[in-house]
Amino acid sequence: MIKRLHTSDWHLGRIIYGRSLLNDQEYFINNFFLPYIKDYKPDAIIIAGDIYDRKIAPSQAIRLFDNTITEICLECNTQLIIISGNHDGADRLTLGSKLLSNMGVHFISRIPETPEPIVINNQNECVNIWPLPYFEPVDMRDYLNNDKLHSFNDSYKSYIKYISDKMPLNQTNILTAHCFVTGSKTSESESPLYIGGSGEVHKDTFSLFDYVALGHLHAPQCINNIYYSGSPLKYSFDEEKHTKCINKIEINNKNISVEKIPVPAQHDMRKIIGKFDELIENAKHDKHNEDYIFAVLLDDVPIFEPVARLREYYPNILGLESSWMYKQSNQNNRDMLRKSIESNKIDDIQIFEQFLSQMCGYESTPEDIQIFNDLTSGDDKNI
Amino acid sequence: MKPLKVTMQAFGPYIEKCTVDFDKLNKNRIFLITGPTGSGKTTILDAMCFALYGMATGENRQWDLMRNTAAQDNIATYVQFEFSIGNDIYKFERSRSYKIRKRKSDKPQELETTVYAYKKNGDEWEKIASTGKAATALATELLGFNRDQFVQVIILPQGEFKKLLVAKSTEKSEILETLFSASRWKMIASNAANQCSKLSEELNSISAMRETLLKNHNTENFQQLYDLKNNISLNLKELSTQSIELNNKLNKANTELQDAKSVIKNIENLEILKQKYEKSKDELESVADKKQTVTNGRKILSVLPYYSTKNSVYNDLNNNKKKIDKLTLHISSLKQNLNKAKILADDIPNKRKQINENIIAQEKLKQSISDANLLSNLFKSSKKLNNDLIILQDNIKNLNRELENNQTKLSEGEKTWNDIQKNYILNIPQFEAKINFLKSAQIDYKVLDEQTKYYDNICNKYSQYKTKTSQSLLIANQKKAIADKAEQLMLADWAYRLSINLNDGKPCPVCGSIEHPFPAQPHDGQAIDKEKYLQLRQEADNAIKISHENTLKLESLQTEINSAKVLMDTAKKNCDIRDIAKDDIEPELKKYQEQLNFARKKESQIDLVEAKRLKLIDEIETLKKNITQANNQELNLKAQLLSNNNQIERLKTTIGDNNHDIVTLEKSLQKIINETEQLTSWCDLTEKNFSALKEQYQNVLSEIEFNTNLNKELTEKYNTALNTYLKQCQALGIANENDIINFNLTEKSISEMEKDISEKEDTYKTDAKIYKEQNKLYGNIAKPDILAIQKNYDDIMQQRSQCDMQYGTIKRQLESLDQTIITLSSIEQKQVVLDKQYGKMKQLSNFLSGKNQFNTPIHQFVLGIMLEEIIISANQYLLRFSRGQYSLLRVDREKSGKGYMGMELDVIDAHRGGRRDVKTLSGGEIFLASLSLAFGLSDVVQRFAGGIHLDSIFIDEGFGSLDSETLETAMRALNDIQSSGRVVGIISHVSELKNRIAARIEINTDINGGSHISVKDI
Repeated sequence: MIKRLHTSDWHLGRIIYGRSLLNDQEYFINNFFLPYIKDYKPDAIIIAGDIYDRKIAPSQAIRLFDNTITEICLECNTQLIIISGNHDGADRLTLGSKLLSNMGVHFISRIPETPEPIVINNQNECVNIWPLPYFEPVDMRDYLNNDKLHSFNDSYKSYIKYISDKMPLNQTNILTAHCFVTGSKTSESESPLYIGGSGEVHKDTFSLFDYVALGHLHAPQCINNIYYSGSPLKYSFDEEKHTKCINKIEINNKNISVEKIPVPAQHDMRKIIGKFDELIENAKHDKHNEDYIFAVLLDDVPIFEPVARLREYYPNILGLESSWMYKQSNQNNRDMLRKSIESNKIDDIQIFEQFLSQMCGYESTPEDIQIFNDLTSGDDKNI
Repeated sequence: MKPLKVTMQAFGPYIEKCTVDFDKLNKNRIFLITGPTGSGKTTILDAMCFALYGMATGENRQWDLMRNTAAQDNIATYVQFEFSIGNDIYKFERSRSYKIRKRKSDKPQELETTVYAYKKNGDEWEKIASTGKAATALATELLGFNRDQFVQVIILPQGEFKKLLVAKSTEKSEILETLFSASRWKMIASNAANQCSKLSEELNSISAMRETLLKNHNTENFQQLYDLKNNISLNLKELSTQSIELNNKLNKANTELQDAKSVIKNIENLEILKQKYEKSKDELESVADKKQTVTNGRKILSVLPYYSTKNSVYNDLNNNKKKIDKLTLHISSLKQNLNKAKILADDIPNKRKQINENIIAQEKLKQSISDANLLSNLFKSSKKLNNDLIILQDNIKNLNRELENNQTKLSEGEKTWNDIQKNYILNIPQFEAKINFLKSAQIDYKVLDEQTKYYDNICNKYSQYKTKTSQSLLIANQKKAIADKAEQLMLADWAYRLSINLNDGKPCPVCGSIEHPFPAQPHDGQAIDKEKYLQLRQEADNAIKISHENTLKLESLQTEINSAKVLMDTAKKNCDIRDIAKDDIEPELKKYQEQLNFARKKESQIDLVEAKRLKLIDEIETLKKNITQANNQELNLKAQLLSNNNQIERLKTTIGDNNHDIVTLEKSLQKIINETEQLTSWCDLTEKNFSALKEQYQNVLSEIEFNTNLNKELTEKYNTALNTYLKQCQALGIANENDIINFNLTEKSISEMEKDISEKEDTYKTDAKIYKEQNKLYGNIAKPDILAIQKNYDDIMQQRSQCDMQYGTIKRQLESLDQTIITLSSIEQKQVVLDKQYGKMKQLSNFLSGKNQFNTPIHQFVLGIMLEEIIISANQYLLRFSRGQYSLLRVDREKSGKGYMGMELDVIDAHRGGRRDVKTLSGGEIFLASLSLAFGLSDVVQRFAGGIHLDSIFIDEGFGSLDSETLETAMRALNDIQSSGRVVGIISHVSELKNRIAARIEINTDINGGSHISVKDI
């Protein structure tokens, strides 16, 4: 039996609403991930991209990751397969990769010159892991010398076709990549792969593989043989309902079983919705007041210093929005005029009458209208 | 407006012609323009704006500031912008060329500026504007914006993006005014104010008019006017009565005057008639003598024709007689001449005979002369032929001699050719083969040397590496041993540490056994910790690796040695086959090369020899032909000579020996000819003369006869005329013929005299009659005093005129008064109306211009509505960008002491629950708010502008002020915006954007300082 773990999208060094999540990430690694590895002793661990949150990651994040792989490598005797994602600085990530590969730590940040799987052997089980880091279509065009590859879907298709000759189909073949598969659920915390482009790949592209370990999307999900482990932490408030996990995969006589292992968070991330007074009242009894909180106020009127006041109860309140800010429209009875303007049915006389009424406290007479018409005769009547 | 292509040359940092083809972005709606600072990112937007409006985006930069100063003078500054609006495609281009400067330091001088605008029509471009002004106006019309509006709505310029956000109300009003054409509201307010002023002026002028009208009549009010009118009416009546009386008087005086004038005129007329009558009487008396003359003249005129006839016949008769006498004399002289001419005419036949003889003699002489000429020519020809023959015979001899010489040369040349062919040319292939052989042998020996050298080198290397390898192996083994030892020690330590805690009955954490018979003991070696062990292990591994590498290297060297040996042996074998020593090759090669060179030289000579031989053959042929020709010519000459001689003999016989002198013969001939001519002319003349005389004689004779007959007739005619004339004279009583002779009056003059007499008699009768009648009527009447009568009349006339004038003046005065009264009434009515209008207009004007409770003029009110609309739209973006924290709000309270403007903005902070000035936002927050406002403005302008397509927006920098999280949020928001169909172009050097935006326009600088553009779509 071959045991593997699949995780992705750690985004080390992530900042959310100005708050660094490095401590939470450190908690995840030191209090859950490493002890679990040491306990479970997997044959291989796949981290499917977006290790860091930015291409030039903060030094603390680098140190955290450095310690992590050192510990995995030296103490756990586990193959570590790491591909770069769209957030990672590919070249920076793979410093020392050639040396480290001898020690079972495989950094792949460029499409391999000679596509070869990382083979995990255990007794009579053999698993081929094909790493494919995040790339741009232009890279694949150069790699396969094919100018017609402009979309991510075509690029993936062509690459898989290219390596399919080398794939021993009688063995278990696993692909690890970093992309967006059509039909998957997204979160606010994910960045589109490219602004202005479409980065989607069709799910049928990966049919050749027994298991596809993907990164990029933060919600844990699967479509056929395609698995997103999701991010181990919540990185936006719309992930409130997510159950963050890592995937445990066991391969026995080519049978694959996948189990989601929940990841405990140092601080949960959730929204609190309601009128201010209600929220304050609830906060007094909230046992999880250390969570990361986003408050949505339903009051119709502005509340004085709501964030500061809520922070007394929720020290980790990150953001707040008030529903009344989305509704402000009734100002000095001009709503009617604006509606007329919107429907392009505005009339000069209407504006004139409203002006007299609202600004001058005076109701216009037919004589006033006639005078106004005389004043405007010869001009364009519409604004 | 969707950009398609921008081309720039010598514009901004672009020296060479550069084109940005937006089509290459493959329909990506968001693209990035990136490049180093100063490379020309903003210049692309400047180029678009410049092509359309003739000015860049910021600070009104025009041609001179946009030209690249490094560009050569012969390169024009050029921008072209191609874009689409809906389905139509347009192209705007502006170009300015410059004169070539003498010195680079001189200021550039414009040569020519061209501006064109085109619209695509199928595949052709149709020119639609060709001046700067027209193009700018067209751009404004097509896009719906002028340049300022374009910059405000389409482009968020660098450093100026927050203009709309933080500007004061006045500035905001100016920006929005132009965008929403709100200036017309200002105009409406201004019109109202103008209208107010107008009404006020009118009121003032009406008032002034009223006063003037009253003053004109020295009144102060209506009542006074009416009183004045009544007085004037009474005066008018009196004057009217007076005028009628004076009219009557005047008529009477006028009648009197006219009568007196008539009497005086008649008296004067009578005097004139009297004078006329007396004059006509005197004239009648004066013409009495003329009557007698007229009577006599009539008599003579009637006799005059007879007298003329008689005289005429008499003259004819006398003339005829004279003529007959003359003819008689003439005929006798003619007779004498005729006799003489007859004598001469009788000698003509003899002369004719002589002439014929002369003609025969002439012919003979001519023939003799011709023969003599021919003979002379034949002599000359024979002489020439003889000379030619001699020359020809000499030529033939020379040609034969030359032929002999050439034949000799030919045989010698052939001999030389054979020698060269046999001794040299046939040996050349042998020499060449030998030389090739020797060269190959040289090469083989060279290869052998190289292979031998290489083999030696490899052997040396191998021995060196062998030493190195054994050393590294030794080191590796040593290090491994050390590492192993250290591992043992470390494990022993661990075991010992574990064993310390072992207790019987408790399981061992390693093996699980409860009993521990042999717990681990401490070792006496040095304590080794894990870190140290790992270090040692690492060193061992490294040493092993190095040793392994050295071993591999050694093996490869051995392989090389083997292959080098094989090559060397092969080369040696090749040299042995040659069968020549290395040292012998060079001399042999030299010898054969010399022989080959000499043979080649000879080979080249043989061509010359051959050429000469062929030439000789040609010459010999030519000579033979010439000789044959010459022989033929000789035969011809001889034949000609013989023929000439025969002819000479013949002619000698014909002419005779003595008659060869042509000159003498010709002289004789000429003499005979002259004589013949003389005789011929004498004969002709004589004959002619005789004939003429004969004819003349006959004619004169006939004439005499005729005139004699005529004489008889004339005599009879004269007698008759004389008788008739004498009878007439007797009848009219004319006794003296001298009266007829001296009479010199004509019919005409007599008729005129008769007429004159008759007229005078008539005139006299008429004048006499009239005078008598008039004298009867006015002869006894006295002359009236016309002066007194006239004076009376004039006085009355004057009086009447004065009266009329007075009447007219007063009447006009009255009319004027009436008019004034009417005018005043209408003025007062008008004044009432105007007062009312003015009051209303003033009120409205005040309201419209801002004199209301909010101090808001109407255009500001309208702009306020627009601004609110913009804010509502902008807040949709800002709430997204700020994750619900911020939204904008228009200030509706008085902001400053200078009065309410109502265009300023606050920001609502949901986190604080309050509002504050936008200027309190941070730099990045201001950028987001400005961006939101720009999008909101764009949305609203598109909705209101009615048909203007705002398909594009360009953001020039600003993203650098955002932290990575906010940048991420902004990027996500922009990604959503592009799905609305709008093209968003971002200029930024932020590397995060470069990694995230698929479509990029990258600008780089060349080594010559210019910039160039590449469009990429990953």
